[in-house]
Amino acid sequence: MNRYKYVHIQPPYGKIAQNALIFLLLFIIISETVSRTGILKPRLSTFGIGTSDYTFEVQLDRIKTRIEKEGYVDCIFLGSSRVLDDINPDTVGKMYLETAGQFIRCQNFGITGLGITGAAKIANILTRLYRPRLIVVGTQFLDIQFQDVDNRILNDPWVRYSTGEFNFDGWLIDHSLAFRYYMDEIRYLSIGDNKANQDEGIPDQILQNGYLPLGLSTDPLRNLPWELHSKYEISVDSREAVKELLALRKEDVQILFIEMPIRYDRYKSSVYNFNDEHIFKKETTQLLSKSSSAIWFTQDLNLVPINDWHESEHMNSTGAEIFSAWIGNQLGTAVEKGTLVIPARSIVNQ
Amino acid sequence: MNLTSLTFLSFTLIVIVIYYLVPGKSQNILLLLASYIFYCSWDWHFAIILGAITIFNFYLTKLFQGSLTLKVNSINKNPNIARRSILWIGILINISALIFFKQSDFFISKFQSLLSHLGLIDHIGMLRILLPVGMSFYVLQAISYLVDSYQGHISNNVSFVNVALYLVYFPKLLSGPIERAGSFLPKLSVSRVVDNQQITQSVAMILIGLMRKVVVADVIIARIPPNFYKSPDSFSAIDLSFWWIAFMISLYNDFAGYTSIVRGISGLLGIDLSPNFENPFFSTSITEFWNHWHMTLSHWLRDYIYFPLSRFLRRYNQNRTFIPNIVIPPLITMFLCGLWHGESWNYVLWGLLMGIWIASEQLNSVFGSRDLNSTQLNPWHPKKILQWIMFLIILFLVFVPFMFNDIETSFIFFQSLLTKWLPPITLLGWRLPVLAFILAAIIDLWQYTRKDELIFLRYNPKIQSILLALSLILIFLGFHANPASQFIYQGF
Repeated sequence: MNRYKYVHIQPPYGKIAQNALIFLLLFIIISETVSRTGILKPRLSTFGIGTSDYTFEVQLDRIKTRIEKEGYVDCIFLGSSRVLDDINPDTVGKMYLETAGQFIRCQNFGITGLGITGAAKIANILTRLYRPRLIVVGTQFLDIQFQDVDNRILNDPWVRYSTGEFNFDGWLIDHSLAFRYYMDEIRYLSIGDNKANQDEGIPDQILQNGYLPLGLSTDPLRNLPWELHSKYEISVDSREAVKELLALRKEDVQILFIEMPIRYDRYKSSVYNFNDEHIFKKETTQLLSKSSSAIWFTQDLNLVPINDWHESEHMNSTGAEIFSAWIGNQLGTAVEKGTLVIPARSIVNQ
Repeated sequence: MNLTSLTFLSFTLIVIVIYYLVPGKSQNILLLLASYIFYCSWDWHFAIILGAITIFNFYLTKLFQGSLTLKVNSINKNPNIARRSILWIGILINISALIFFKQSDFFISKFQSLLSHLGLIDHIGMLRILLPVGMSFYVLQAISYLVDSYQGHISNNVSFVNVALYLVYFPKLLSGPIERAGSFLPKLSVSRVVDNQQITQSVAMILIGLMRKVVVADVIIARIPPNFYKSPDSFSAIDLSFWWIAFMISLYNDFAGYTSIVRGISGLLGIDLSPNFENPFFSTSITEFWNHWHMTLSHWLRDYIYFPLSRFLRRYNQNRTFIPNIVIPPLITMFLCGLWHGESWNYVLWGLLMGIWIASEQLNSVFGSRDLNSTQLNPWHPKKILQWIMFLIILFLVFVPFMFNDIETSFIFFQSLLTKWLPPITLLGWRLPVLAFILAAIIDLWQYTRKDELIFLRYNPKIQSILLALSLILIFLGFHANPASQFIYQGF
């Protein structure tokens, strides 16, 4: 007895589907060809990997464009909006040149809400794509609260593909310009949503060097101090992320951590448990000393005057200049003294 | 296991392949097994509840079918009363189970509020009972099984496997269509043969469903600002109107898309499921609307509540113009329809408004001027178009309580809609929803004007190929335009 008696399929078999497949192939070939001619390029406002984090896309776009124009970057600053708004990489480079007598090209890669786990993945990708010689991770005890952006970035198909986990969407983004145009078009069509929640400024205003200067007006009440409700501890994931970052040293990338300061006076008057900051400092120092790495603590130095803060957690552009100059100076001094070794290939004398 | 996920696609493909490899007698057992696996993927506790309801209803029907006998003399003396009593006990237990899982928090919180208001208690707590996915749908089908068995529409020797499959059949488990036992069970007793035409039609239904869900509904849902539902007063009237229309279009396309997908899947298994939507937004009266919107629910309500209630009322007064005979059945039916949708006052209000509207339409058809019944007019006649616009405006207004979580927010919405006509108008992210509106309108107009939901299959093979390629491209792009969301009606 015919066991397939329940399916009566007569010829022709799937003629419509076959033709549809041909139309699909034609569509793919035409759209990819048109995309590669560059006709659509003026419409492409960002790198276009289709993540739900627009700042990440803009930062990828900024570094890509800069490297296309200038050839390389030596140093990348990674971290949250505190890095994005507080570090002008050009000022860092300028001060470094004055102190160490050597030119260094720096790029800011701050992303609002980025924590250490997201930063580790991004550092991996940027190292593979652009071979920087120094990655400076700006972190802070409040960063422990960041989860959403990190989760978005860790789950992003392109990020997963770029860090060795194969998936079709990630592959498509890497290989199809037409698909990137589409993702960017979707971003454009939904742009209102992205602009809506940008507390620290609109990502479109991020400069070519990845820095987003904030206005001069001081409005300390805009960001009120927050309170951690759980017991403070550096999570297992964060510790793993630090290890992942430090592993990049095998690829000739120096890793340095800097504590990003906040307006201390605002927090002193708050209900915030300051013991958390001490735990952060103690644990971070212990964690990094095991792998002979360093973190520069800045909070107690009171580098930025009260009037040069935009609000409680971010500096205005004047404060950012002061802080960036300090970083450039410290980097130059450390290299001069030999306490920090930046692989020589990245430093181009001018 | 979300219906638009790759996991579900793989699951369905595996089931279909095995289904056609096993002998006909085993097909129902395979589907039953697959359906329970599918249900357990949501929560295995849900499967236990459904299993218990299935066993209960199956053996209860055996009681009034005479296969099992009760050793109670008083009942055996009058078999009709006994059968009727068993039926009512069955219906009440099914409804009680649904109320327990669906409404207990609502009633307990209202009761506690009352006690708190009277100063008798100072703490309001919740039971936090989780409603099993699909329960609202399969309980109605269980009642249909009881009533149809009682009325003799179902053969006495229907097997337990078939009854269990009727209730758990995975394509319709989550949100229907609400199949009637009398018409569905016979489909499980015959040999199913799938041919070229059936495959083509089923695939077309799945693609139309995916277009509605992924390219229209999800695109809109992902862009409705979350604040719209919480604080409509933070929007201008223009914004509110736009997102209000967006909600209605997404609600329709989400549910119609779901139905189309599951009908297509079931079609590939050789089992036809009932249609649920027939371009309802082209209706010009509320009665017509309910004959085209969630049809399996409205027909269930009509046949198991509305008609019996009308018959009951007519026992006391047979005059067809007697106003309570006209007004009470729609009011009670739609009140229950509101309660079925959710355990809050906004759904009750929505149901009552629908009931009032249907009742007034029926009063008008009995007492009003014949001129107003312009159903005979050409659909493009200006009077008909005006009637259609008026109908849509009222329909959208009545759906406002359905849109929000509570009545207070509905009132805030209306207040803002009337008072906030000045800028600023933000309409953040409006572009993609507008494209989705246009696509939804094209699909509906095409189906409505040709009176065929699979109109796309009437064209020559080359055009069909282009349409197939185009729909695949749109679905692929739709999947990448927004995160996939759950079907709205899964929440009911």
